[in-house]
Amino acid sequence: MINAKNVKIHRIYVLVLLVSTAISFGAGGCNSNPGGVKGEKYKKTSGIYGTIKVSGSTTMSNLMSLWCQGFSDIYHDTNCIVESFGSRKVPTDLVDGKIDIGMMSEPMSGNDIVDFKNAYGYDPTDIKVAINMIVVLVNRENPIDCITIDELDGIYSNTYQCQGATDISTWGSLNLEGKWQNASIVPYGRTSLSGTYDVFRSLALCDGNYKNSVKEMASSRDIVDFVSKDINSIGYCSAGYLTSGVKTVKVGKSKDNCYPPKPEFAISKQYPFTRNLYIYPRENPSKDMEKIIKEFLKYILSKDGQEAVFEAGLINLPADVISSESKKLTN
Amino acid sequence: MRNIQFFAVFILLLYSIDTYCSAQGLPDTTALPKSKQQPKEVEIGLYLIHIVQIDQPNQTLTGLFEITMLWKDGSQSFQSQGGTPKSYTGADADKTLATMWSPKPDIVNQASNPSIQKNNLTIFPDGSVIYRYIFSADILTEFDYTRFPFDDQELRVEIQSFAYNSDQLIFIPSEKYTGISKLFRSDDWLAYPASVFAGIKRAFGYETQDRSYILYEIKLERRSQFYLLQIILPFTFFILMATCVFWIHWVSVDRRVAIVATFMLTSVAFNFLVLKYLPSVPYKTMLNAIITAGYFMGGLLIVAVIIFELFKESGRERVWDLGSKITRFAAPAFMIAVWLLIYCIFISKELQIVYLVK
Repeated sequence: MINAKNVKIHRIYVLVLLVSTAISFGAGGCNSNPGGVKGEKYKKTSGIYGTIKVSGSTTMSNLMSLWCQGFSDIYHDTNCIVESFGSRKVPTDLVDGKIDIGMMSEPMSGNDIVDFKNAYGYDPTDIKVAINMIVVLVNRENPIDCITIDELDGIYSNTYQCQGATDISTWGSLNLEGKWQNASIVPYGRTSLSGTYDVFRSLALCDGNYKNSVKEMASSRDIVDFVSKDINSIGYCSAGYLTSGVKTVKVGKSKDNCYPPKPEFAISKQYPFTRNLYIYPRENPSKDMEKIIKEFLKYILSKDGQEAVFEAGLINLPADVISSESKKLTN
Repeated sequence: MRNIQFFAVFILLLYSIDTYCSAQGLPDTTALPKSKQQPKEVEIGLYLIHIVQIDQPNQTLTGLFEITMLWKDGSQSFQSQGGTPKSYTGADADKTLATMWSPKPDIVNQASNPSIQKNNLTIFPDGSVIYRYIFSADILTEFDYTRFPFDDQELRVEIQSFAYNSDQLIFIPSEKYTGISKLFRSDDWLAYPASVFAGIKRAFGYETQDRSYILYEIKLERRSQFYLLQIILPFTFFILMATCVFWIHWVSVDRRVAIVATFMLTSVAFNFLVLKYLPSVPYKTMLNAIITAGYFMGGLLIVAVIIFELFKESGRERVWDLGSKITRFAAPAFMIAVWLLIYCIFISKELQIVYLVK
C-alpha cells in the first residue's frame, strides 16, 4: 500500500541515488590505465625524505628521470642525483660507496660481483625493472624489411664470428636494387661506455670486434638523429627514442624467422635483441637498507613505476616477474 | 722580391712576439690542467636563492642563483703554513681567474646574459679550487598553467660546457652545493629539493662533439590557499545561493529569475576582479574552467526556473512541485559532479583529456 510517507521516502532515495550517481560520474573519470600496466599501486608511507644517488646506463636515464619525478611527487622532500655516463661505471661507483643505486642495461659481470662481495660481504642484488629491445634502424626511405644476425655481423664487425658472416659494405649486398645497389652502408653505434654497445656486440657480433668505421655516438637519441638525416645509414639503439625519420627493421637468425621489435615478440624472446634492464642497490634489501631506497625500489616495481616504464617507451615487466623481483626486497 | 722580404720580416716579427710572450710566462688559460684522470671532472652545484618574478606570457623566470664549481689544478698548488688558502672576491677574483684555467659553464636555457652579483675564488695549497658566484638570470621555462591554481612546476636549469667536449671535461653534480637556499622566500611558491641529472649529449649541429651537461630540476608548488579562499570558495558560495530559488517557490517567477540573473552578473563582475590573478596564457586553466562552469550553471538554473513555471502555468502543478523539490538537491549535486569532473580532467595525472583539448 502506497501512502504519502512512503512516497516521501521513495523521493529521498531517488535524490540520494541522483547525488551519488553524479558524484561517481565525476570521480569515475579519474581512473585509467595507460598501457595496460599490471601490478599494485604504490602505497605511500611516512618518514621518507632525503637524496637518492644514482649512476649508470644512458639507456635508463629517461626512465630514471620519470621515476625520480614520480617519487618526488609523492614524497616532496626527496630528490635524486643521477649521473648517466654508462653502465660500466656502476660497479666501481657501488664499491666506492658513491651511489645508492646503479642502473645497468646488462647484468653485472662475475669479476664485478666478486669485487662487490669483497667490499660489502654480501652479493649484489640484481632487480629487473624493465625490458628493453635493441632495435636496428635505417632511414625511413630505406626499403629493407628484414636483416639477419650474420648480416649485421658482416656490417658491424671485422671478425665475422657469427656463422655465415662475411664483410658487407654496400646495400646491394643485402639484395637492395636500383640506387641502393652501390650505396655504401654507413654504420652507427654506441660508445664503449654504453651497456648497449656490449649487448649488441654479444648478440649481433657473436662477441666479435667492431669495425673501425662504425661511428660511435654518445646516446641512442644521437643515433636516431643521424640515421634520420643520412639515407645510407644503419644504426642500433635502445627502443624508446624512435622518431618518424627512421624505421625499424625486423631481425632474425634467418630470413624466415624475422620478427619486428614489438613487446609480444620481446617477451616471448622471438625478437633476438631483447634484454632486461637492472637496478643494483648498494645496500642489502634484506638487512639494513635505508627506508628511502627501499621505498624507491618498491615504487619502481609498483604499477606507478611500471607506468613510467611504458611512458619511457620501454616494455613493462610481466606480472610474475614483478612478483618475483618484489620478493627480493622482502627476503 | 720585396714582397718576399716583407713576408719574411712579418713572419719573424710574429715569431718574436710569440717567443716574448712565452718568455714572460703568460699562461694559456684554455689548456686543461694536467691530471691522470681523463676527462677532467668538475663538480658543480646550483642553489636557488630567490625567485624575483615569473613572466607567464614570455615563459621566463627571473631568479637569483648561486653556482659553485670545484676542480683540481696542480699548477695552482703552493706552499702554505697551516694550509691557509688564498681567497679572492669581486674584481680580484675576476683578475685571478683570468690568469688560470677555469671551466666555462654556460646556462643553456637562459634568456639573457646572467649578471654576476658576488663572487669568490678560493685556491687551496694542494691546488683544489672553489669558484662560486651569485648571479641573477632570466631562465626560459616551460611552465604549464593548465592546472592553475593547483599547479606544480618544474624549474629546469641546464648547464653545458660549450668550450670543451666530453672527452676533455665532464660535470659531476655536487650534492653539497645543490638545492634551495635557506634564504629562499616566496609568497607564491613552495620550493622542494632539486633533482640533478648529469650525462653526455651531442652538441646540436655537430657530428663529433659530445658535451657534458647537467640538468637541475627544482620542483615548485604554488601556494593555492589564496586562490581557494579568495576565488573558488566565494564563487562556489554564489552558485549555492543561486540554487536557493528552488526553495522559495512562493516568490514570483520574475523575482526568482532576477535572483539567478543577479548571481550571473555578480559572477561576471567577480570574473573581471579575479582576471588579474589569472595567468595570461592562450589556453584554459582550471580556474577558467571553474568560472565558465559557474556561468553554465547559472544559465541552467534560469532555464530550469522558467521551464518549471511553464509547467505550473499549464496546470501541471504536480510536475512543477516535484521538479522544484528535486532540483533543490539535484542542482548542488550537479555542481559537485561538475567540480569533480573539472578536478579529474585537470588534476588527475592518469586522465590527460585536458591536453587533448589543448
